[in-house]
Amino acid sequence: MSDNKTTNRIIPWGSLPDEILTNIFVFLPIKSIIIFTSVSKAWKSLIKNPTFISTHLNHSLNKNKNQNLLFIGLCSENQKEFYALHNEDDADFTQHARFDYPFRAPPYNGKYIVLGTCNGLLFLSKVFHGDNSLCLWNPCVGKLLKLPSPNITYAKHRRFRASLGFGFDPKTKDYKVIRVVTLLESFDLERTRPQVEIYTLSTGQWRTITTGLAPICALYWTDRQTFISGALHWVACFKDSDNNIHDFVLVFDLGEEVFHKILLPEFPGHRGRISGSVSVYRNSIALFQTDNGFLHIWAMKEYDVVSSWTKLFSLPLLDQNFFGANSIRTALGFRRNGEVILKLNGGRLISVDLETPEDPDTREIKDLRIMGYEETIVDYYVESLVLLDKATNSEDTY
Amino acid sequence: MKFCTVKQYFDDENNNNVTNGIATTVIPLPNKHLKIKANNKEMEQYEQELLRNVMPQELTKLILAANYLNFKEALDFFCRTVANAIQNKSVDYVRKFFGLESDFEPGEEEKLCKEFAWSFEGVDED
Repeated sequence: MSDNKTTNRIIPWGSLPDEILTNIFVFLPIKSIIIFTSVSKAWKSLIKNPTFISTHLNHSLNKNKNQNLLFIGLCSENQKEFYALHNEDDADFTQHARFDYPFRAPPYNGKYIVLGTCNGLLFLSKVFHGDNSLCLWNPCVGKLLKLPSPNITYAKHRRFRASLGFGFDPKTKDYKVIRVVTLLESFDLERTRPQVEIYTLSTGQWRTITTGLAPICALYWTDRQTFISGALHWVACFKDSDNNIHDFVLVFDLGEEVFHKILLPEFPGHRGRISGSVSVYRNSIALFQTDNGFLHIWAMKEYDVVSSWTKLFSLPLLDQNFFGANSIRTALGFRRNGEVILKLNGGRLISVDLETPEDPDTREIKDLRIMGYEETIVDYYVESLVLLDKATNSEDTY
Repeated sequence: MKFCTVKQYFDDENNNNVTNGIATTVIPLPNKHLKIKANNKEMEQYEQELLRNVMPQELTKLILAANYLNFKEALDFFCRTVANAIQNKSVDYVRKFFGLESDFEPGEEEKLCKEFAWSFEGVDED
């Protein structure tokens, strides 16, 4: 650098335009971004701002740096829940971060479980005295928001069963929580329609759906949500005119706020009923179905195209030596690369490549070296700053 | 490359501060970037050299030049270099690096630190 040229205007860093500061900040780890809100007022207002939060999220979602994270709900040896983020692209599946159960209260009044994640937010639910207590939590920024009480409660409506879901609506750039409630008091499969209420983060309130009603059906209970392609998915059933019960996938589009049905694949011995659940699979959905000692995995190769249901694999549930001296307990979900994550009896988590060679002996099984527990869930995760700009009401938490 | 923008940049009177050094660094960057794209280690070394040889003021000018020229790859590269230099560092370190002063009220900064107390753990020593 020649320094005999006079640079009579030394440009101080501080006067770098916001878009350049933003461009620097998006490359920082989340922890640093949060700490740097203390550097100056200007930095604080730049960072704690919906625009920056959104830019940072888009950067996180699109960066091709090899850091795809998987969220896993786990439990320590002394019965304490915790959550771990693992790096999917790392050969050793290393842990990237770990968060403790965010509530101090002892579990006498029930404990929260994580139903799913979206854009770095975790969706937690607790059932207490028949009612749902719901929270949105961003562990990366340490912000927890407890949702107000929904409209449909035990006190007003007596017994019910609620299916829950949470996701991001790109149209309104808002986060929504859905509650699909089946009132049990006078339930009739041929007549009862689930009631639907929606909470939006921007309004902070619940509202009941009056148009685009749910079809007459009953939802199966699930403790994990399936949010993909802007929609939530649950397995449900309805009774046809011949009194036969059929299972199907009930889909709720978060943006349009309307329901539609996705039919299940036809398979031999299929009399309309399956014993199974849906899961996110790549950019579409998959079906886990148990039958006759086997776990059948179907994938909808083209999302929402019923003819594209393809059976990927059938795994033996009764094989005591499937991996080591363990048999398969349940399927938890998929990795971004299409491998299915299984929990073995005993808790060990493994992932299996179902897509390459047909020969079952050459399928690749990977030991993730993580011990799951009864309520382990896995979900794609991305670090974000969502909720950083919100005042939150975490009274009985950390 | 956007040749007309480059010419305009040099002709622009307001940019008297541009030295030859900047043009030589910014413009050859795409070639170097392509050549060593496959090798991350070399990229890191290049980054370290850049940081050592280029004073913070010059780096600012490089960033502004890349921004003006709409040269996204160079801009991202320089910004990432700055980010790597300040990541995991303390608030004081960053203030010194950028030549900034705290403009918070006395209690405000403490409140912020308390709000995010847990994130200050594991920060690099200055």
